[in-house]
Amino acid sequence: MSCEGLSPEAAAPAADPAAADTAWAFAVAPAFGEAVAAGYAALNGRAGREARLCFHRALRAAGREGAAPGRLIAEILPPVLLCGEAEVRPVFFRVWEALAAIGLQALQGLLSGLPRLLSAAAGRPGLAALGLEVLEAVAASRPTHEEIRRFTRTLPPAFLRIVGEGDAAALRALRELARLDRRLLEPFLAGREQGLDRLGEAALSSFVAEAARLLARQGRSAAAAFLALETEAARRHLGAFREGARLRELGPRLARYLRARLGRPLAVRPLAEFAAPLASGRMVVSDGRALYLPEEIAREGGRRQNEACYRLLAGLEASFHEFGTFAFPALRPQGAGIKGFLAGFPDPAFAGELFGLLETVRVARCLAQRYPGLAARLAAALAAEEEALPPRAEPSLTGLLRLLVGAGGEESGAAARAAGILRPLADGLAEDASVADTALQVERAYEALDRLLAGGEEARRLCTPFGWRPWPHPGHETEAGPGRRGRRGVAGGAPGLRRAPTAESRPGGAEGGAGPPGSAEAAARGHGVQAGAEEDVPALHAAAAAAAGGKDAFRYPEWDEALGDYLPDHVTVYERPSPAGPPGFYAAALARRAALVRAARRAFERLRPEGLRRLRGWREGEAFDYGRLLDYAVDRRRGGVPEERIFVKHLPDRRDVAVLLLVDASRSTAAVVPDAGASVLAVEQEALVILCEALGVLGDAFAVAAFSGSGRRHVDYRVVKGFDDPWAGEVRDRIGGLLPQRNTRLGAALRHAGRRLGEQPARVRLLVLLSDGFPNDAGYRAERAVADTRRALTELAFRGIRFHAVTVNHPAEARLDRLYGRARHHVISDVRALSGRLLRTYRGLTR
Amino acid sequence: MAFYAGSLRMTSREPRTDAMSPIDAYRIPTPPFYLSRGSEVEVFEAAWEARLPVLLKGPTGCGKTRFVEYMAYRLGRPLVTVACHEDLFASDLIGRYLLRRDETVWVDGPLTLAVRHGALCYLDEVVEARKDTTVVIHPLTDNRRRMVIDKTGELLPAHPDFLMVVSYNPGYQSVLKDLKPSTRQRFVALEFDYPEPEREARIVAAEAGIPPEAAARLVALAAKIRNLREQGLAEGAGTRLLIHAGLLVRRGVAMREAVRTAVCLPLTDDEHLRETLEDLIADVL
Repeated sequence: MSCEGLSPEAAAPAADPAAADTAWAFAVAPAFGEAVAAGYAALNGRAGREARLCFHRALRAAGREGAAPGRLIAEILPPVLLCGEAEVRPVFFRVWEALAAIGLQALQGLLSGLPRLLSAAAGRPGLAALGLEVLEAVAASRPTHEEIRRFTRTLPPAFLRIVGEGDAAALRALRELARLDRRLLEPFLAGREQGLDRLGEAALSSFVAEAARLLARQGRSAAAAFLALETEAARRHLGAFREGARLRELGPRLARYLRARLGRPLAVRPLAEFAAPLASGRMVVSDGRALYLPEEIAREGGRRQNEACYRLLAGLEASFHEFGTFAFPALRPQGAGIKGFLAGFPDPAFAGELFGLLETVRVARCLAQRYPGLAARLAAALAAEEEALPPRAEPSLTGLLRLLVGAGGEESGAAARAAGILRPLADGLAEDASVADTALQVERAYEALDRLLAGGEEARRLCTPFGWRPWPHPGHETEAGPGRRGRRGVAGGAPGLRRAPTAESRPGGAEGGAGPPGSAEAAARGHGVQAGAEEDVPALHAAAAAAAGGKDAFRYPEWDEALGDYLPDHVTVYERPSPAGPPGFYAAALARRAALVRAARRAFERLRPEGLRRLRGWREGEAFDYGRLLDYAVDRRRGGVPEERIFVKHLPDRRDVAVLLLVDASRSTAAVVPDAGASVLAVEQEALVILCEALGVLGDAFAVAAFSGSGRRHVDYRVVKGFDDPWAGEVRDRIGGLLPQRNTRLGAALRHAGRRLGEQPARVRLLVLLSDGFPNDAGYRAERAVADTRRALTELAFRGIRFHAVTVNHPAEARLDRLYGRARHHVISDVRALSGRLLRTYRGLTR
Repeated sequence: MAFYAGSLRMTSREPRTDAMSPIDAYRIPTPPFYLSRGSEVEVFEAAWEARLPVLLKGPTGCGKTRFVEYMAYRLGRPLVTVACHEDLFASDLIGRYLLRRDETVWVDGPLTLAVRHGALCYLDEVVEARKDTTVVIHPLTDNRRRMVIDKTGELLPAHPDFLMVVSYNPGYQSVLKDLKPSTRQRFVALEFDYPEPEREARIVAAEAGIPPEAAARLVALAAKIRNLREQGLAEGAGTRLLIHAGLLVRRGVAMREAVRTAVCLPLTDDEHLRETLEDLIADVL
């Protein structure tokens, strides 16, 4: 359908078609009629004859197909005709034609939101047409009805958001992707939520080009995973393009820095979590518990500069804590801290600005003394701030700040007078001055500065770089707004500051000072990064407990064989103690298998070292090896060259072994082992009893854990015995408490067990898996599960952890060899065979 | 043994006829630089008078060894220092037979040397030594004050001026290794920590020969780095590291480079911690 190309004269009705069209539409269906009336009303007076004719023709054409399409076009065409962009109309009709060919569902689903989109695109030329071109490409690819239903849910809101953000690059990327393969749109939108939206146009275009290459080479799923940022490669790609620095990545570093600066932990949290509203432009604020920074800084100059900006902000804000700004002394008669002090001035807001200026000067002087590097960066930031302001002849607090911290600036006329007043006061704020001294100087400077800066609000307002300032603190904003004047509370004017003992600067004394406590709600959200909480994690396992949202939750990557890449943070493992089973299980198992336990104990006792090992043939040592000494003497007498290795040394013969027994407790272990007449899990439990008894004899450090799970977000890792738990009482009863449940996501369980084993300082670390077959979980089957398990085993090997699997109740087959490696597993069906096999294995692996 | 007595003469000690005693090599010729941090000098002297063995606790590089050197000089006694390690046996302390031509010659170990000649014997990081060393340490640190040399059958009473001094670092050794109470309770303990900033700056300036301002800057940085102890750093930056940095600065190495080389790299291999150290350097220097 199109209204273009028709001669208005030829096809135009003699009179205005509005009345006839409305009557006709009402005759077809009342709702259609209402829509037509509303459409003409919208066009009335705002659209020319040509547009009205176009509306008329489109109405008639669509109406002939039925009331529903007629009503739809009556609703969406007027905004198209009124949007003022010539290119929108032809694209719209092309999209209409293509979608109409698919069906009414497609038309309604994808086009009914068009008026809102056009309204969002108003004033942003080209965006509406781009959005329609995406739909055109989608429609041209003949999507299935199911896809249309999905797109109806996902595309319109996403388009609205993108258009609202004015992101033409994203729409161009969507158009490109829709032309390549419409099924890449949703992964791209998911990736946009994860950070693609922060890419510039060129970077995004390059990212999409890379996805196109992947599509050609490895197929749609690889390209989709790349676009959705599910693969390691995609994240690397994104990281390489991004210029902004992100708090999530820099948080741990800043938290460590704050710990070093202050000698106590100060969490780092996103600015959005600060409880009180912040002034525009403020990029850093803190309270007694946390320092708040923007989630991302993307200023000019590239990522390194943005990271440096984060460090500068953290360094500056930490200075208020270190130099005692928030340890403002109690005041009389007001009793409150700084707020009470400022309330004593005629213009508390101006006094607050003056306090901010002088306190910043004091802190800057402390910085110059103790942190010259940081002070120099502050001076540069102040200079940049001043340059950004429009030039002014009269003095301003901002200009004075720059003068007083040695960042240069003009000094003439009134500005020189103001500087002349403030400079001696600022000089009084030597390194050993405290915030109480700042308050005294505010009192001295107030009246003169109030007169000098009476010229305007701008001059009376302090502008600091990044909004970094000690006051007003957003948590304790003064009630007196700018310009509001109160009365001094005390006759004679002095607000009554007492230099009490509490007036000393207290490094790190923000608690209980002017800084408000962090909101419990913000703390509970727990996105902050505490210093030292994230150390010592291997690269691929970097997102651990904290990232997973709790101390017992751990995220691990998973290998996707189809993509040939890791999916970072893909699986969440929850570690918790295994519940104790019925008391007496352990004793009963011991009694039932008494002979086996005895045999295993005896066999393991033979592995125990006997004490010191005597090593012969050393050039020096604790004692002579007298046989060799004799040979030496004889050789010397004969005139030969004697062998000088005649000493012995004693070295202790010590086992240095840690072993973790990992038990598959998935649902399949409920199956009965025919030869044993018991379930797989029961066989595993008995094997555990025997093995643990034997290990107890040997004295090797050992732990026992069971695993199961449902889906990638919930792998259960149940600790039966930790390395530090004593092998007694409830810990033993936990073996009886194991129940078969859910599925087997083996790779994640192996990675987590490897993590626990890796923490052991033993020379030999061994992981023994008791299982009943192949891994199996939602989205984790067949080749993918095997490949991930093999990857996890390779990771263990890289960490120096030895591995052996024992498979119960499964015929030996080549696939198991492929899963574990031929030499790293064996199959048993009878628990009686276990001790002998395990002993041989254990001896071999822990030698 | 009698079988080859004709060709290999077994001696209990190597006879010494020269005027120079072997212990003289252990005398400290010049006064070591040491700034007292409290009453430790007086306490040590009192312990010396009462012949009470002394245990020094404190982090690496905080001045324990220097203190012992200073006290040995002050008391006019030789100082025999043994850096203990996990392969140090009692026999390494006591001594052993060595071959010299056709003879087996008994050579005193460092502890025997100190016991025989009345030196201070300083066992540095004593918990690192093997447990069998306690067999030797115990009789020398209680009222018996003697040592048994089983290989020669000698029962050696300690010289009246002999004193045992041991040190250990509770910071990183306490988890896996610790002194047994039966050993601990034989000693008078002196606790050491890094000196206060002003005194530490004087030490660094004096030892490295750099201006006081530069030394103060190094000390200020070290104070911040020490806040990272137990936060990934096993140990803070000891005074020794600062002196090393100062020595490099004195020889023309730029301050930042000197600190990076002498302080940061020896402290940690962890990339993240090094970033934080770099951040601190950028602020302080």
